[in-house]
Amino acid sequence: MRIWIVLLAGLLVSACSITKVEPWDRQYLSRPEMAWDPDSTTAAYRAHVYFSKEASSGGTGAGGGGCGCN
Amino acid sequence: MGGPCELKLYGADSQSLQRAANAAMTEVKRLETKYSRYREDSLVSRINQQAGHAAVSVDAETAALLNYADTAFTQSEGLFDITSGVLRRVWDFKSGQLPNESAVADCRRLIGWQRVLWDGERCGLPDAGMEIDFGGFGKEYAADRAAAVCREQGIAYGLVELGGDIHVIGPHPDGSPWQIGLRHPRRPEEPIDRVSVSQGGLASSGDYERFMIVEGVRYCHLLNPKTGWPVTESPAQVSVLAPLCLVAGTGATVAMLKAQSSRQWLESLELPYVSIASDGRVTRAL
Amino acid sequence: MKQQNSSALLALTSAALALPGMSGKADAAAPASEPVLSYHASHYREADIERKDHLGGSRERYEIDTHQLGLAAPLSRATDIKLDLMVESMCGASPWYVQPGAGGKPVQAMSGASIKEERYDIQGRLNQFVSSDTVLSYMAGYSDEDDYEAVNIGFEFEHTIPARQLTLSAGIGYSDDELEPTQGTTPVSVLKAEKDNLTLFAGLGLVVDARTAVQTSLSVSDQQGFLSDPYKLVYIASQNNPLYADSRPDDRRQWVWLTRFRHFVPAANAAFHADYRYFDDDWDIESHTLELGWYQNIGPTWRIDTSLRWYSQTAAFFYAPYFLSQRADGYASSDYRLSPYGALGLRVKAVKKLGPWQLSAEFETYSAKAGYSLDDVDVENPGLVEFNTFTLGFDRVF
Repeated sequence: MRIWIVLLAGLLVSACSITKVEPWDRQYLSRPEMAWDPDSTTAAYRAHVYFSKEASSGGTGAGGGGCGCN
Repeated sequence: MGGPCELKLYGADSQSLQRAANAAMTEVKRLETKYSRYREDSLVSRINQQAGHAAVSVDAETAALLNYADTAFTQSEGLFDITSGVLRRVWDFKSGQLPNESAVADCRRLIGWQRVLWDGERCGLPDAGMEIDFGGFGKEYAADRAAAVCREQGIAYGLVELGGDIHVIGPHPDGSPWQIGLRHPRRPEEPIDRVSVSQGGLASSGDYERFMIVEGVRYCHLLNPKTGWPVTESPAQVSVLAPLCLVAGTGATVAMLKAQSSRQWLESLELPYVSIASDGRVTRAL
Repeated sequence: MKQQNSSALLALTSAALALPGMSGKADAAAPASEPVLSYHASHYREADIERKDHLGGSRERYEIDTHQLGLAAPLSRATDIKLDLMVESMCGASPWYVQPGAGGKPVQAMSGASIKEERYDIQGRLNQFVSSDTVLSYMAGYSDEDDYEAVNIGFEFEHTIPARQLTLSAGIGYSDDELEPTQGTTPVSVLKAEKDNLTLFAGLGLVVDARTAVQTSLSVSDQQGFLSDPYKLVYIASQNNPLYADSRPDDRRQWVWLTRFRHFVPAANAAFHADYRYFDDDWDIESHTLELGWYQNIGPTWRIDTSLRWYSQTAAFFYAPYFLSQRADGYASSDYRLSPYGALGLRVKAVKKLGPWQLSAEFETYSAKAGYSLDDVDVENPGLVEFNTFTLGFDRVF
C-alpha cells in the first residue's frame, strides 16, 4: 500500500506540466492567501485541536511537540 | 528626475499609503543623488573625474547597472552607449545652431563603451574627458525601484510615473487595468492613443523631448554615438511595454536610434509596442 | 504570456533582473524583512454529552481558553527567527470508560470532578538562508502541564530549483515526553511513564503556473514508550471486576501522505485550497482528511476565508466500545479517538488589514458522527465529540 502511495505521489508531481513563471509574474503566488498556511498561528492551533481529538496527526513537517491531551 | 513625478497608489489606509509613498520617494531621491551628473560627490562624477587616471571600485548596484548598460550596448549593436553623453558639450538645442563638424569629430573620439575598462568590480575611463552617465536609463530604473519599494510596503494596486516612464504595480482594486494615454508627438496636450496596462513598465522615447529646427530640418536629442549626429528618419515616437520599465525604456530608446530599422528591432524584441511615424501613422503591436 | 524567443529581450531581462531588488521578494528565499508580533485568543467548547449516551459523571465536557503569542523577526542578514508561546487553561470533564447500557448499547461514563489544568508550550524556529534557494531550519520546543512534560527538537532543509520551479524539502524531528498522571478521584494506571517520537519527512513543492502551486509530502513517525491513556478504563464483561486500565501497544508507526493544492482565481479575486491527507498506522487505523477552502478578497483590506473539512477514520485493532472477554494480547481501549467515525467541520474567518495591523475573527464548528465515516460503522462510540471554537487574532507589523 505504501509503495503505491509513494509512486502515485511522484507521478502526480512529475505529471504536472509546468508553465514558466517569470519573477515579475509572481504577484498571485506571493499573496498571503496562497501560502500553504496563510496564518501559521491559526494552523498551529487547529493542528493541536485535531491532534487531541482525532487519531491522526502530522504531515506538515517534522517539528512540534507532544501533549498529554485527552 | 527632470520631469513630473507621480505616484497613484491604492492602499488600506492613509497611514500605510503615506509610508509607501515616502519610501518610494526616498528611493527615487537616493538614486537621483547617487547617479547624478551634477553632484561632485556622486559615484558617476567620481568615475568621470578619474577619466584617464584610474579605475574606481563600484558597489553591487552600480556594477549591475554597468552590466546592464554593457548588455544594452551589445544588443543594440553599439547604439546604446553610456559614454555618448559628451556630445552634450557640442549640441545645444536651445541655441538653434548646429555644431561644426570638427567639434563633433573631437567629441566622437571620447565615445566608445567598448574602450571602457570594466571588470565587474572597477570601472575606468581610458581617456581624460570621457564621461559615463546613466541618464539613458536612470529614470526607468528608478520607476522600477519605486514600484518594488511600494510592493514591499504591501501596495498591490497603483502605478509610479517618473516623467513619462511608468511602472504599473497592479491594476485598480476591481481588477480593471490603467488606461494610459500616449502623448501626440506634435501636439503635447492630446493623447494620440491609449494603452491598457495591468502590470509592468511602459516607457516612451520621442523626437520631441529636446530638439531644434534648423532650416526646416528637425534635429532631436537622440544622438547616434557612431556619427555624433541626431538620428534621422526615425519614428516620431516609440512606446514599449515590458515587465520592467528599464527594459521597456531600452527597447524604446534603441528603437528610435535604429531609425529606419526600428520596426525590425521592435519585432525582434517581441515586446508589445506602439510606433508613431513622423507623418502621424500609428503602428500598434500590442 | 506568449513564448519569448527574442535573444535580445532575454539578454536585457536577465541583466535587469540581476539588479539588486529588481526580481522582487516573491522569488528568492529571504529572511523576513520586518518583525511581526501576533496574539490570538481562542475559546473552545465541547457540546454536552447527550443523555442517551451518558452513564454517569458530568455531562459537561471540555472548555479550553487558549492564548497564543508569536514573534517572527529578522535576526541577521541571512537568518530569521520565529517564537511561539501557547498558554491554555482547560476545565471540564472527559470520557472515562464505556460500558454496555440498555440493550447492549454502549454508554459513556464521564469523569466526575471538574478537571482544571494549565498548559504552556513554547516553540522556537531559526531559519538560516544559506542562499537564495536554500534554507536550513532548526527547531526546539518545550511544553509543560500538570501531568505532562515534553521536549522536542527538529531540523528541516529546503532547496528550490528555480528552473524547474521545484522545491525539495526534508526534515527530522524528535520529541521526548514524560507523564506523571495526576491522582484525582479517578485512579490512574501508572505513576510515571515516558514516551518518545521520531519523525522523518520528505516533500516536493511545484509551481505549476502563475496562479497554481501544489505540494506533496510523505512522513513516517515512530512512537515508543507508554502510549496508553492513564486516565481511561475499559469494560470487560467476563471479569468480576470489569473495569481495566486502558492498555495500548508500546510502539506505533504512522505514515502520512499529504497533498496540498493552491489556485488563485483572478476573476473572483480569491484563492482555492484543497488539502488531502492519508494516514495509515500499525494500529490498523487508516484515515482520510479532505479540506476545501475558499479565500475571498473583498477590496484591498478585507478577506473572508471559508473552509469545509471532512475526516474519516477506521478503528484501532484493540478498540471496542466494551469487551466481552480479555484480548489475548492484553490490549484494550474504548477511547472514542480510536473508534471508527467521521467528522465534518466548517470554518469561517474574517480578516481585516488596518495599517500595520491585521485583525481576524474566526469561528469553527466540528461534529464527529459514525455516519460521516467513509465505511459503515456498526456501533458508534458514545463519546464522540462536537465542539465550537471562536478565535480573535491581532497581528502587527513593526
